[in-house]
Amino acid sequence: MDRMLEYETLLASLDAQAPGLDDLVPRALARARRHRVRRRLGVPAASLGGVAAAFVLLVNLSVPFARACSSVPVLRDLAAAVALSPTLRAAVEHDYVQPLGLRAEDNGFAVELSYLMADRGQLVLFAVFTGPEEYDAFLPTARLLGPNGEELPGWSAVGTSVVPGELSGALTLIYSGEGSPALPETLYLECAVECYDDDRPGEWDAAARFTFSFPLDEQFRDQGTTMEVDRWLEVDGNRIRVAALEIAPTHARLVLEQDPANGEELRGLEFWLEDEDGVRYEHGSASGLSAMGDSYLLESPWFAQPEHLTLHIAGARWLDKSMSCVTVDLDTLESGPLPEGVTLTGAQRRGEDVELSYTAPVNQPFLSRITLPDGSEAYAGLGLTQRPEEDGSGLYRGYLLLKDYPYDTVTLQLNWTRTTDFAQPLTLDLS
Amino acid sequence: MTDLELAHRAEEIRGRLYRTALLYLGGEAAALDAVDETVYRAFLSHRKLRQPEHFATWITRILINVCNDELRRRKREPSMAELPETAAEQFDALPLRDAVERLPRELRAVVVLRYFSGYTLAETAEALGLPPGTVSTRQRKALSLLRLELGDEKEV
Repeated sequence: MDRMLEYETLLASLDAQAPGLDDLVPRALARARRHRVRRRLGVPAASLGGVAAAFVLLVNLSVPFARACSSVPVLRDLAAAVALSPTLRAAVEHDYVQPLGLRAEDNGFAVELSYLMADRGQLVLFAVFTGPEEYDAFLPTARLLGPNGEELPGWSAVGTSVVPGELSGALTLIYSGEGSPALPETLYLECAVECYDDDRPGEWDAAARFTFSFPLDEQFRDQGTTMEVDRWLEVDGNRIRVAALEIAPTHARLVLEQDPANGEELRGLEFWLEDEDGVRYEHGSASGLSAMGDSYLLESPWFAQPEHLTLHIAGARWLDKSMSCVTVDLDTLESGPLPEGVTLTGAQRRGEDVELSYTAPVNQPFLSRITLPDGSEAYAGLGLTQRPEEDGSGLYRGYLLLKDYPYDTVTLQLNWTRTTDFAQPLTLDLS
Repeated sequence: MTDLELAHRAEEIRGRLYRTALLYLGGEAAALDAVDETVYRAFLSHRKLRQPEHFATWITRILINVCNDELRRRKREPSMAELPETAAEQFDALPLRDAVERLPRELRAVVVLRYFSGYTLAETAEALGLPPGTVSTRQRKALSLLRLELGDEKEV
C-alpha cells in the first residue's frame, strides 16, 4: 500500500474510541480523592470504600459527633481529620482534646501545631504543614525530649504523609518501653519535615526543622487502664498467651506472649474485640501502626465503657523458625522454598538496578530486609511496592527494586511463611 | 483549576490522549491504562497548573511520562544513537503502524504528537519539554525513516 494512503487509513482507524474511556474521568477523580484522603489520614487504601461520604454521614447521623462539631466550631476541622478513626472520633465527642495553637517557620516551610490528644501510652499531634507550592506532600518525624534536651526513652514517632494546608493527625508518638512512661509537665518536640514533589516520584527532600515546647494538660497525662487476662490459647498448632488488654483514650493494645517451644513465630494476627452490644473494636490504629512486637494495637473501647469484651481471632501469619530467609538467583529465578502462595514472576535488569517481581496471597509483604552477597543488609521497604492484581485472582503483585545492584543473587529475609484464615474465628471471653 | 474544571477539560481531551497512547504503546489495554493513570495524576497535581491555557500540553506531558514509565517497565528499547544504518530500509518493510511503534521513543513521541494527535510544533515542543528546533530535527528524522512525505500542512 502506498505510504500516504496507509497513513490516511491508520489516522481514520484511530478515531474509534475505546469503550473504557466513557467513565474514565469520574473513575480517575474518585481514585484521586481516595488518594488525597488516604494521605491526609494515613489509613490503608482497602479501608477507604466510602471515604468521600464518611465525614458527611458521621456529622449528619451521629448526634454526639454532630454536637461536638457544632458546639465547638473550631473543632470542625479536627472532626474531619479524625472521621475515619472510631477511637479518636470518640475522643472528640468527649472533648478529649488539648488545643495547642503553636506555629513555627523554617526555610520557607511552616507548621501549625493545633491540637494534642494524649494518654499514658500515646501522643497524637494534629498539625497543618505548608511550604513552597511545588510540594505536594510533607512527611514529619519527631523526637520527644525532656527538659534538659535528652530524648525520652521508650518513645517512637510514627509520621504520616500529609497534604499541604490541611489539618491532620500527622504525628503520633507511641510508648513501647517497660512500665508506664513518666512524662514531664512540659514536653519538648523536635520535628523534622521532608517534602515531596509529584513530578519527581520517589524522592523526599529534607525541608525544615522545628522545635516546640508545650505543657501537657494534667488530665491527659496518665489516662489508661490494664485488664490482666493471662489465658493460653492454641492457635494454628502454636501456643499463645493473651497476657493483657491495655485500654486508653486514644488507643488500645492486646498484649500477647508466644510459647518459645512453638515451631512457628507469630508475625501477624487478624482479630477484633466485640462488646455485649455487638460493637466491634477493630485491629489497627489512627496512625496506621498495627503492632509493636507482640503488642497489637486496636480501636479503644475507653469511652464506650463496655461491661464485657470478647476477643475474636480470624487469621494469623506465621514464620517457620527454620526458614527465616531464602536466596534467589536473579538470572534463573531459582530459589529455596518460598512462603506458601508466593511465586516469583520475574527479575529484570534496568541499567544498574534489578526489579524482582512476585505474586502473593495477602497484602502483607513477605519480606522486610535483604542480605547482599557481601554480607551487608538493607531495608527493603523503600523499594517494595505491592498492589492487588486486576485479573480477579485475589492475588497481590509486588515489585522489589534493588538499586545499583551488581550481584546475581539476593537473600530475602522473610516476614512470614504461612497465612491462615479461620472459617470460624477463635473466641476468648476477656471479661 | 478546580476538580470540576479539570474533569470537563479531561473529558474533552481524553480521545486525543488515548490516540496518542495507542500509537505510543501499541496496545488498546495499555493505552487505556495509560490515559487512566494520566487523568488520575492530573487530578493529583493540577494545583501546579498556573496557566489553564497550557492544559493540553501539560496533561500530554504527563501522558508521555506515564507511557515512558510503561515502556521502561517492559523492556530496554533502542535509542536514536543505536539505530543501524539500514534502519530506513527496515522501517520501510513494515506496515506503518508497526514502523511507528518500533521507532526509538524520542522520535515516536514527536511523530505521534505531530501527525497523529494534532499538536503543532510549538505544542509538541512544550509537551515534550524540548526546544522547537530539536522537535523539528526529530520530526524530519522520523518522517524519513517512515518514508512519509508529510510537512506542516499535513498536521491532523
